Amino acid sequence: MATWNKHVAIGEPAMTYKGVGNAIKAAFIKDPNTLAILEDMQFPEIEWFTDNMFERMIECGIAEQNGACVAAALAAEGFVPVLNNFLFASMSRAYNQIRQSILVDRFNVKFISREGVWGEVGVSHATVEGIGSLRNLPNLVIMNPADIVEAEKATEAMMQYIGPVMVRVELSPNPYTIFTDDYPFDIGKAYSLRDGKDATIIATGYMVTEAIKAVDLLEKDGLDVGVLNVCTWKPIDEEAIVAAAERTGAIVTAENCSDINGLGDAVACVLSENLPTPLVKVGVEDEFGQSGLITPEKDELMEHFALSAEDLAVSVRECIKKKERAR
Amino acid sequence: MSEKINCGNCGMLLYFGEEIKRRLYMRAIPDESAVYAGYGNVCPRCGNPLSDASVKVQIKRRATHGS
Amino acid sequence: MGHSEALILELEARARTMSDHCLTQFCTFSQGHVGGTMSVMEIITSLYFHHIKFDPKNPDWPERDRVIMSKAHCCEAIYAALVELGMYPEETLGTYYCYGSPFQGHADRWCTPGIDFSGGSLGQGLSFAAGLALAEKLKMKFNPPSREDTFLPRYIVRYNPRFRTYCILGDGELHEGQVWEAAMFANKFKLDNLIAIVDYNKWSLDGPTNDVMQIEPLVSKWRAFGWKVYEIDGHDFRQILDALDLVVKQYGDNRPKVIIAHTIKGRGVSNWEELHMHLGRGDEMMKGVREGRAKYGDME
Repeated sequence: MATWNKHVAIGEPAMTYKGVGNAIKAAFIKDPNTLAILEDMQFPEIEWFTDNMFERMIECGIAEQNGACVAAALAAEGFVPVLNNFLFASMSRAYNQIRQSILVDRFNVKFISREGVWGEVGVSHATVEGIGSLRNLPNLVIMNPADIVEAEKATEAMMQYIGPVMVRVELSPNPYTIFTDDYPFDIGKAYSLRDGKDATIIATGYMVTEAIKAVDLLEKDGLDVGVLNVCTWKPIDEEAIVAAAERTGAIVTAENCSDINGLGDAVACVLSENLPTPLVKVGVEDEFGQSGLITPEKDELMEHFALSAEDLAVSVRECIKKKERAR
Repeated sequence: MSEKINCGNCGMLLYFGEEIKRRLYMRAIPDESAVYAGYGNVCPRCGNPLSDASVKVQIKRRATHGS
Repeated sequence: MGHSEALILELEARARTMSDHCLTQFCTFSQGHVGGTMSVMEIITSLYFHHIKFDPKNPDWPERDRVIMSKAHCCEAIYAALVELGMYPEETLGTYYCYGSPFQGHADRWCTPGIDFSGGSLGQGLSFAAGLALAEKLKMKFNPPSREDTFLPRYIVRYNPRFRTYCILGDGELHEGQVWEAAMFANKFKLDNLIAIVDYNKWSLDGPTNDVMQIEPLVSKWRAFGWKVYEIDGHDFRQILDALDLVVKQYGDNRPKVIIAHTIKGRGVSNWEELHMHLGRGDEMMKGVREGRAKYGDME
């Protein structure tokens, strides 16, 4: 079995969304100015909130554009609004409201957005292009945590930071618990799970779990592959990415969203500007999502979009070949 | 052009966004000290007092004719 | 309701000077949103020079009344008011649209002290105003004023709000669906400290507003959304002041209010009232502006 760096202890699968709920609860207890902006879309830990924080829940109904502007105004008056919704509804639908009312004025609004290739919800809800479309908005910090521990720490960091932040959480039940409780999380810092010699998989969100599985598969072929977890998409950790490229000379990026304007493109930009390196992008290839069954045993959508550990392993081998050809 | 301010002690991200000097943030964020003031001049994570000397400011911009 | 003749005369004089200020701004680059700016002039004058709590020396005063210019393309009128209040020297008017000027093309909250909302993308102002009104309610709920502050007996639970929020909407802006989302929101949260003013000048960029997209019946629409509606002539100071006073007196009735002000697009700029072109550029516009200037000049 592969060996891992200090803060990694791979455990049972757990939904990342639960980690977000725990951190939000703690933030509400600590700061009386936090407000929950609801858009008829189950806030995390909704029962606890209804019992304990009823006065601080602002239900806006299914009116996301209005919800975004109301959040901006509440932030202007010193409150810390937390918006929770599907990414397509809270961010893509209210894109201009977020740009004009929140980001131009840099109001302290926090977003928890659900997105990714998962479940039975179909093309409308299983969007894959949303997080990429936000990458060129100034002032916005974008994070995509990999497991329940990181989700909790990222949400905690989001509430500590002053300024607009978006945390993207995936609703798949399958991501491993990856990190230990003393995992040192920082916004804007990537964490190397394992350094490797032959290639590095730069993964984000749920795909870190698939990368971990792929490392074991590739180890059987005698390949030593590293994994770098990039939770913060923006600001991106250029040093860690360049260091990984220097160390291994072959980079495979893995994300469960569109590979256009996504993490793959961000990494490719960093590398082509600093240290051109053979690179293969793994992601959803310019297409929409759809319904599919997800169980711990079988994930139909991961197979459909070729995002499983086996597919990652193929891409890693391809990338190592590219590297050898370049020599 | 983006600007990033991290605590010099623990590395916590304190500001990320447009370069403060360039944008006409005349009132909200006239300069970096307004960012520190938002946190009460103390890093919320490690308690390090914040000042121009105790933080790390990174501004990302390409070389231009004027620079 | 008994506003003195002297006050009305004073406001009329102010409005004339402000119109002149606006024309100066249009002259800078021979462009600007003349029609909507001139139609909302009397409303802005009544708000800034008589009605609202606003301290030009301290534009960030937490208890100031908020004026949200949702139709932010007509922010020239607010700039003129800020100059007239002494916050900016008159020369600033000549820098409108210019690089580095506090008078940006569309209102920007952080560039221009005295402006509360970065608008320009239509339809968002009423939501923002509703959010501010809700914030006032929440602050009142989380830290209510002490009994000593209010000088009222304990059984009177009706306080004055710490601040009121006024939102100025254009008529074409009512085509935006978000305005009606905000209308529902304000009614749900019983925002009686929120006052919307519709500058109903009947003209949009592409033609008459009601031909572009029917917004009538406007009164019953707002009423159906749970708002109290008042209809006035938006160029008559007595009617504007009476309506604003009436609206303020009704605080505590748990209902948001809207004043529909019937106005004339491009009022006072001779060829504009006839031509109905409101986004002006070049010679045609400057002709009207010059004539407008001459007219206001004569009055003074």
